[in-house]
Amino acid sequence: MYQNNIIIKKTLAVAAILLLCCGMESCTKSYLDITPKGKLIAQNVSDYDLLFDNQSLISSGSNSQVAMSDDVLQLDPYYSGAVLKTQRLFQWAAVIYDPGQDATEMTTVMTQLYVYNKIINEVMDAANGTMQQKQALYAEALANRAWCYFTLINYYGKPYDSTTAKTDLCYPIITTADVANSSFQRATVQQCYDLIINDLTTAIPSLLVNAAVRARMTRSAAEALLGKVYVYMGRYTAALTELNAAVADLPTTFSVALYDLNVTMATGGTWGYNPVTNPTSYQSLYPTAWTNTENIFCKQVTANNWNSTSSDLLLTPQAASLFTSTDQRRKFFTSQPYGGGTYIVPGALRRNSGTTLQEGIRLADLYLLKAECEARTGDLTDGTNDLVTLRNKRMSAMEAAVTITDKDSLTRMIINEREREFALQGERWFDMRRLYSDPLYTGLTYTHNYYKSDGTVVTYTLTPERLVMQFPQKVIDQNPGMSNNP
Amino acid sequence: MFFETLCNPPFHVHRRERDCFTKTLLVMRLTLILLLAGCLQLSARTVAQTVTYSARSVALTEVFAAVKKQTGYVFFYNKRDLEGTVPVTVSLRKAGLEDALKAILAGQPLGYLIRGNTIVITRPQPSVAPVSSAASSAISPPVEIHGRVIDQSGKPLAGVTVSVKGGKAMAVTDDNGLFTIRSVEPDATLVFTSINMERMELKVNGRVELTVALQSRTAKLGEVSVEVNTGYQSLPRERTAGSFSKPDMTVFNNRTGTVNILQRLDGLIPGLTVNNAPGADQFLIRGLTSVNGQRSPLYVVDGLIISDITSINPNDVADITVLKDATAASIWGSQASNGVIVINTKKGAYNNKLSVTYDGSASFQGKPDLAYYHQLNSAQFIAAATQIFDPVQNPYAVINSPAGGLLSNVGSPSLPPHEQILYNKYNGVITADQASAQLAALAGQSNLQQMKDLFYRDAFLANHTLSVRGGGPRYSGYASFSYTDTRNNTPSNNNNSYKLDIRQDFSLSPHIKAYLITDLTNRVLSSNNAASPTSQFLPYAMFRDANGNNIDMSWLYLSPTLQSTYTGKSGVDLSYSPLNDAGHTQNKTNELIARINGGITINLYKGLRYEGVYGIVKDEGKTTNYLDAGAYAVRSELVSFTVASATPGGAPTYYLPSTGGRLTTKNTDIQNYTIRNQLVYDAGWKGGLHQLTVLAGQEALDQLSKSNQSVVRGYNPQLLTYGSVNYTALGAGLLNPVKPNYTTNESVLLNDAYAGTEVENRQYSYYANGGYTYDAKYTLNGSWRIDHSSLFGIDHSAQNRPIVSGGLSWAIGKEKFLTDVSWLDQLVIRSTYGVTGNSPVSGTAASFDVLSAMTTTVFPNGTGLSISAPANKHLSWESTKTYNEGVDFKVFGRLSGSVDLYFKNTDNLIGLLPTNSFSGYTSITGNIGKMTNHGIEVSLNSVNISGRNFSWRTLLNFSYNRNRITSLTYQLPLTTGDILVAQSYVQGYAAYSVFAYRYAGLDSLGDPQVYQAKGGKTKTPYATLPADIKNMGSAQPLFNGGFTNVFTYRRFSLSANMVYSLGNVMRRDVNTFYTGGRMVPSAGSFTGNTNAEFADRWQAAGDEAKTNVPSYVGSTSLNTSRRETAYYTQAGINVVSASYIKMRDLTLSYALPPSLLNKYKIGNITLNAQLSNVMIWKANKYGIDPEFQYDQAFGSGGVRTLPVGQHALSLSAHVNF
Repeated sequence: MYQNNIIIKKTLAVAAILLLCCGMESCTKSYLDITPKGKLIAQNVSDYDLLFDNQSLISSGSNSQVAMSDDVLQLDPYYSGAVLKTQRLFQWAAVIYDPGQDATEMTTVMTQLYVYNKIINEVMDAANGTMQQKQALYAEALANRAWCYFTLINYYGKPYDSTTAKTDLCYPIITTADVANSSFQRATVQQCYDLIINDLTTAIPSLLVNAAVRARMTRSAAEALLGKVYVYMGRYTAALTELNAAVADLPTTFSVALYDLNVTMATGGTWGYNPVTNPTSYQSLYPTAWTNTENIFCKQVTANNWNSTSSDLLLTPQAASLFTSTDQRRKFFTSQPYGGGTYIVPGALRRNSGTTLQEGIRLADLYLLKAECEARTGDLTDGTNDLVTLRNKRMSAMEAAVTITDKDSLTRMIINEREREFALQGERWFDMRRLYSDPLYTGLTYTHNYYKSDGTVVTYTLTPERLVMQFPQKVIDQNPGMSNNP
Repeated sequence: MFFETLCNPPFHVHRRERDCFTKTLLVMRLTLILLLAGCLQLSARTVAQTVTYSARSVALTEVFAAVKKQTGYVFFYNKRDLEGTVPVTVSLRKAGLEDALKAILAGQPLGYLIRGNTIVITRPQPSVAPVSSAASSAISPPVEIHGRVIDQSGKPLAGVTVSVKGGKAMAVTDDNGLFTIRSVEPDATLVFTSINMERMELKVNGRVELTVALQSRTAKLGEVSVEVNTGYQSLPRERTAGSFSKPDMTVFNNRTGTVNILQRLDGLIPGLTVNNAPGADQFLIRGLTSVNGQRSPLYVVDGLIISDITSINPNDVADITVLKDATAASIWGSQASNGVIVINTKKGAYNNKLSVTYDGSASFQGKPDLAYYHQLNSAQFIAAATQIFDPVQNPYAVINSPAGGLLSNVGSPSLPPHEQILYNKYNGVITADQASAQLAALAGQSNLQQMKDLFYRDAFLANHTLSVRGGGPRYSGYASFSYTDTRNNTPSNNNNSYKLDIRQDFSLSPHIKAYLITDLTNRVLSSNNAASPTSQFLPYAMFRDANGNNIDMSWLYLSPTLQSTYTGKSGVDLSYSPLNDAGHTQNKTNELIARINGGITINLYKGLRYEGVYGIVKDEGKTTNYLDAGAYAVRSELVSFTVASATPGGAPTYYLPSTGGRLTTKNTDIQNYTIRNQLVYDAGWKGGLHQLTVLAGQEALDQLSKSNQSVVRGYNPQLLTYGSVNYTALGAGLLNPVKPNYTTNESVLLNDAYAGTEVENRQYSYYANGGYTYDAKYTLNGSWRIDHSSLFGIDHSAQNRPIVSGGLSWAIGKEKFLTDVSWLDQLVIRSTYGVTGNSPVSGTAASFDVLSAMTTTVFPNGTGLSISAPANKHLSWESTKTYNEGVDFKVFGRLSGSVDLYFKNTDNLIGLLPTNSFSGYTSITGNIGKMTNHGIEVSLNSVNISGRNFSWRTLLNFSYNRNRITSLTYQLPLTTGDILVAQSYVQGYAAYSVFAYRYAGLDSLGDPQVYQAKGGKTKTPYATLPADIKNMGSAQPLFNGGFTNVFTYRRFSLSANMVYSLGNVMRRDVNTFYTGGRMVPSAGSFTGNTNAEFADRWQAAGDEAKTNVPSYVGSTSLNTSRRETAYYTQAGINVVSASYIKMRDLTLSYALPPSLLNKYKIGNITLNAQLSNVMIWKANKYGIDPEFQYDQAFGSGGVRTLPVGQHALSLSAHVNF
C-alpha cells in the first residue's frame, strides 16, 4: 500500500506537469480566435457595399478655396479674430501651415482614398455576391477615386496645360491601401489626369444609373465629373458629350431638380425666409446636402463660422454688385454682422445661410458647364437655353432673359453667372485657376483687400506660382527628396 | 508510512485525482461534489462525540472505521504496528472517546494519543536498560518517530521541516502538525526548522512519540508575522525581495464614512496616491505609467482579477497587499504596470468554535454648501444683467423664433423673468418705473434657502454586516450578510445593496483541500429626475410661491410667446416646473452580481502540490427609465413631431403616440471567468538552511460584456403596451412640425428603438515564479510570464514578449557583525529589477482593417460601415522597467519601517503615431514615447509609549513621486502658446503639467495682456508662442501620504488620521462670462449665474490699475477678434497651490469591559464615533477645497464641484459573540 501510494503520487505529479506544459497549448490559438461583435473584417460584397454608406465620405475635406477666391475681403475688427490659416490663405501666402501641421486639403480626402483603394483592390474577390454587384461597386470606387484625385490635383497641381502637363509635378499616384507605405513620388499633371480619366471611363459603363441615394455615385454623376475634368483640360467638345450624357442619365430614384428660389426664398416662403430676423443672425434655410434636390452627388464641408457668428470672410462689394435687383440669391447674404450692426466697408456682405458648403456634383454646375461648352463651341442657342433654365429659377423671368449673340460675351456672362451662383462658396478659386491662362481673360490679375479700421487698405496680389498650394512642411519632411511646389 | 482516511478508500481517491488532471471542467464539477460532501461531513461530525458500538471478533481497522464515522476523529498508525493484534470484541454505549479507545485497545500491544482531531495509535517500545551510547547504537535498531509540532498557543504547525542532525532522514509536518520520520537512531538529534519559527534541536533519547512546541521568530521581535499575497501565492515577507505595502487594518476598518475599499486606503499605503479631484486619475500607484491606456491599478480579489471593486464589502476584507515593484507585480504580466492591489476576503478557521460578529455603522453627512460656487447674489445679478442687456444684438424676435434656440442648443431659447422685464421695457410694454420696480423685487429675493429645502436632504450612509465563522476538523466556513443603505443629497434617491458572502474551506483529505467562495450582491437603486440646482442658477428664481404652490418655470425651455404658439398649434400643454416634473419620472436599477470562486489544492509528492483556481463573475443589471406622459421631455418631444392643422381650429396630426410615456430599458450582462492551474514546489532542506519555492502555471481568462437598450414610446405601464413609431419617416425628417428640433422647419427622430454592444477579450498565459532563501538571510526571487491575448486581430508575433523580473534581499541584520548591535532588531536590504506591462486597448491594433457599424440618417436602412482602425500590425505593450531599492528595519524594539527608492522607465507609450501623410491616415495607434517616474516611499511605525494603561502609536506614510515625459510624439504640433496651454502631457515636463499665460495685466480697454518671451506684451488672439508660456507645475501631488496617531487609555482609543497632498497646483475658478449680452441658462439647465468676480471686472478707464478681471464686451465678434479672454482665465495668476492637509478621520473608540459582557456571553463590544474630512490647512486663499476642483476645457479656468461628505459624523459598533 505504501509503495503503491508513492507510485501513484509520482505518476500524478508527472501527469500534472505534462498537462501544464503542453495540455492546452494546442487549443490556445482557437481559444484566442474570437470575433468581437459590433466590428468586422470586410469579406462579403455587402460589407463593401456598406463601406460606401459612410456619412464621413460625404465630407469634401477642405474649405481653403473660399479664402483664396477673389470674391472675398477681410476687414477690421474681425481680421484679427480670424485664425492664422485663414489670414494666410487670404494673403495667398506660400506657407499656410506651421511645421508639423497637417493640411486639411489632404487629410480627409486621403482617408477616403484609402477606403476607395481598399474596395478597388478587394471587392472583386469578395464573397457572396454576383459579378454584376461586384463590378458596380468596383466602378463606384473607381469613380470616387477620380473624385478624390480631381480634388487633390486642383490644390497641388498646376492648371492643365497640354504643353507642360507631362513635366509639371502633381500628386503621388496611390492605388493601394496601406498605412505602412512610406515611399511616395509625385506624378505629373498628365499622369494624374490620365488616372482620373481612366478611372472614370472604366467606371461609367458599370455604374448604376439609379442609386438609392444621392450620396452614392451614379453614372450621371461620373459623366458630369468627367465632363468637368475635360473642361479643366480645355477639351470642350469632349466635355459636352459627357455633360449631355450626364443630363440624359439623371437618376430617377430620387428627385433631381432645380429649386425655384422665387418660390422657396419668398418672404415667409417654404424655406422660412424672414427679412426682419434673419439678417442679424444666420439662417438655416437651405436643405442639407443629402436631401438637396440640386445635388446629383452630394459632398459638403463646414464653412467654419464664416457664415454664422464670425465675419472673417465677406463678399466683396464688386461681387455683390453682380446680383441684380430680383436675384433671390442675394437673400443668402446680409449686410449686418452677427447680432446686428454695420461693416466699415459699405456693400460688403456676410453669407449667413447654412453652415456648410455644398460642393458635390451640382445640377446648377452641370447646366453652367454645359452652357459654357456650348458657348465656347459656338452653339449659342443651346448655351443660352441652358443658362436661362438656371436663371429662371433664381430671379424674375424678366431679368432672367439673356440676349447675347457673341460667343465670347456669352461665355463671360456664363462665368459671371458662376460667380453669382457660387458666391463665397469657394468654387470661384477653381475657376480662377483654369481661367488664369484662358485667352478670353488676358491680363487678368487677382487681388484681395484687407480694410483696416484706420481707413487704410492692404492689397494682396495673386502671383502665378500661388495658383498651386505648397505641400505642408510635414509632408516634405516625411518624404525626403520630394520637391515642393515653388 | 500510511495515513488512512477511512471514509474514502484510497483507490477511489486516487482515481479521482487522476480524473482531476484530465479535464479541468471535471475538476470543477468534482470540487462541487466534494464540497457538498464536506458540508455533510460537518453535520455528521458535530452530532456525536461519544461512541456506541458493539462487535464480536472484528479487525481493529474495522473498529477504527466505525469510531471515525461516529466521531470524525482520524486514526493515524503504522500498518506494521497492527501486525500481531487480535480481533476485537467490544460493546460500547455512549462511551466517551477515551473510554472507548481504552476498551478497544485493551489487551493489544498498543497505546494511543489524541492530538487535535487525530488519534495516533502507538506501539510502546519495550524498555531497555540504559547502556553506553556506543553500545546502544550498535544494539538498538533505528526507530520510527511520530510527532506533532505546535506553536506557543498549541495550534498545529504545518510545513515545519523535521530532519535528523547529521543524517539524511527528513519529514515535513502536515496540516495537523503531525510528522513521521523513519530510521532514526534512538540517540539522534532532531532539528525543527520553519521560516516563521525559531530553529529548535531536540535529542530523541529513545522516545518514539514527541510533541514539540516551537517559538515564533517574529514573536521574539514583538511583531506579527507578515504574509504578503500576490494573488498567486502567499509568502512570508522575509522570503521575497519585492516591494509590498499593507494598510493598517484598524484605520481601514474604522473608516465607516465610505464603503469604497480604495477610498479607505487613502494615506495608508505609501506610493498609492488618492486624488479625488474630479477629472483626475483617482487611484495611482507610483505615478502615471500610461498616457492613453489603462491607468488605474489592477484589482485582484481572492486571486482573481475583478473590475468592479465596489461590489466587495470592506467588512469582508481580511487582508490587503499592494504590489508596487516589478518583482511583486510582474507575475501579473502585461496588466501590471500600474501596480496591483490584492485583496483577500475573510475565511473561517479549522477547529474553531462558532463566532458571530456584527458590524454596524451610520454616517451622517449633511447637506452641501450650495453657495460654495461663489456666484453673484440676486442684487448683483440683476444689476449686471441690466447693465449688459442688449436688445439690438439679441432681438426679441430672434429669441422668440425657433431658430434662436437652434443656434445655441437644439431645443428652444429660454427667456427668464429678468429678461422678460427688460424686453418689456425696451418694447414699451411697461414703463421704466414699472420695470425698475419689478427688477427691484427680483433683486430682493434669493432662492438659496428654497433650493436647500426642496432639492436636498442630509446625506446618509449605513452599513450592517452580520458574519458567522467557525470550523470543524475538516470544514470551516465564513458567512456574512450585509446591507448598505446609501442616501445621497437628492431626495427620492434610493440605493440599497444586499450582500451574502460565503467562504467554505474543505479539508477533503490530508492531501486534498478545497474552497468555495459564493459572493452575491444585489443592488437596488431608484430615483427620479430630480434637479440639483445650486447658486449657479439665477439667484432670484423661486421654485415655490408663498402659498406653497410650485411655480411654473417653462421659460427655462421656451419663451412665453413661443410656448403659447406651440401649445395653440399642438394642443399640448408645455408648462414646466422642476418640482412637478420629477414626479413624472422614475429610474430603477436592479443589479445582481455573483462572484463564485473555487479552488483546490492537492499535495502530490513531498513538497509538490497542485493548485487549481476557478472563478466566475456574473454581473447582470437592468435599468429602466420611465417618463410618463406628464414629463416635460415627453410632451416636448411630442410637440416636435406634431404638425398643426392646415385649417384653423382643426386637429393637429401627431406623429408620435400622443398618450403614454417613454420607457427606456437597458440590460447589461458581464461574464468573466478564469481557470488557473499551477504546480507549486515548496521545500526546505539541510535543517532549513535552504528554502525553495517554485511555482509554474497556466491561466485562461475570458471577459465578456454585453448590453442592450430599447426605447418604446406611448408606453402604458398598466397594460404593458406601447405605441408604434415610423422611424423611417421621422428619421428622414418631418417637415414643418410645430416645434422643430433639427432645422428651423424640420424635426428628425433618430431610430433609438434598439442598441446593443458586445465586447469579449480572452487571454491565455504561462507563468513561473521562484524564490530561494539561504540561511534565512539571502533571498533570490525570479519571475517569468508570457501573455497571449485575443485583442482583436493583433499580430501574434508582437505578443511573444516575455515579462521577467528578478530580485535579491539580504537580511543583513542577521549577520554576525550586526548581531551585537543591541538597538538594531531587524535590517533587510532589498533590490529588484524587472518589467511589467500595460496592454493596448481592445481594437486599437489589428492585422486587418477593422470596420465598425455606424448609424446614419443619410443612407438606406440607417446603417453603414466605416474603417475604425486601419490595419496596423506592429503595436507593442507599454512596458515599464522598474528598479527598486528597499530597506526594512526595526530599531530600539519600537520603531519599525521601510524605505523604498524606485526608478521606473516606461517605454512604448501607446498613442497616436504619425504616419506618412500620403498613406491615408495621418496617424495610427502606435508606440510613441517614454516616461520616467522616480520616487521615495517611507513607512514608519512607532510605538512611542507602551504602558499598562496608556499607549501611543504613530504611523507615518510618505511618498514622493517625480514624473517626467522624456519623449512624446505629438499628433498636433506644439506650434503656438494656445496649444501648449491646453496640454497636460508635454515632452520634458511631468504628466498632468499645468501651463499658463504670463499675465501682464489689463490694457486701457480692460483687455487682458500677456508677456511675450521676445519682450513686450500682447493681447492679440493667437499671438503667443510656446516660449511665452510658463509651466506652473503638476496637477498631481508630488508628496502625499498619511499621518496617524493612535492613543489608547484603558478601554478608550483615539485615532487621528491625517492625509496630506502637497506640491501640486490647480486652476482656480474665475469669471468666464465676458460677452454675448445675455445672462440666461441654456435650455432646461440650472445655470445662468456667473462668478462673483464679474462684479470686480474692468468697467471704466483706470480700472486696470485696480483689477485683473477683463472688461465685458457685448459684441461676440468684437470680443473674439480684439482680444483673448483666455489670456486671463488661463493665466499664471489664476493657478494656485492645491496643497492641503485634511483630518481624514478622527475616531474615538470604547471597548465595553469584559465583566459586563461575560454575563451575556458576549466576546466584546466596541463603539466608535468618527468625524471625517476636516480641512486642517490648505494653501489657497480662495476657499477652494482641492479635492473638489477640476480643470475643464481650455478657456474656462478651474471649476468647482460641490464638496460632499465633509465634516461627516459616523457612529459604529463592533460586536463579537
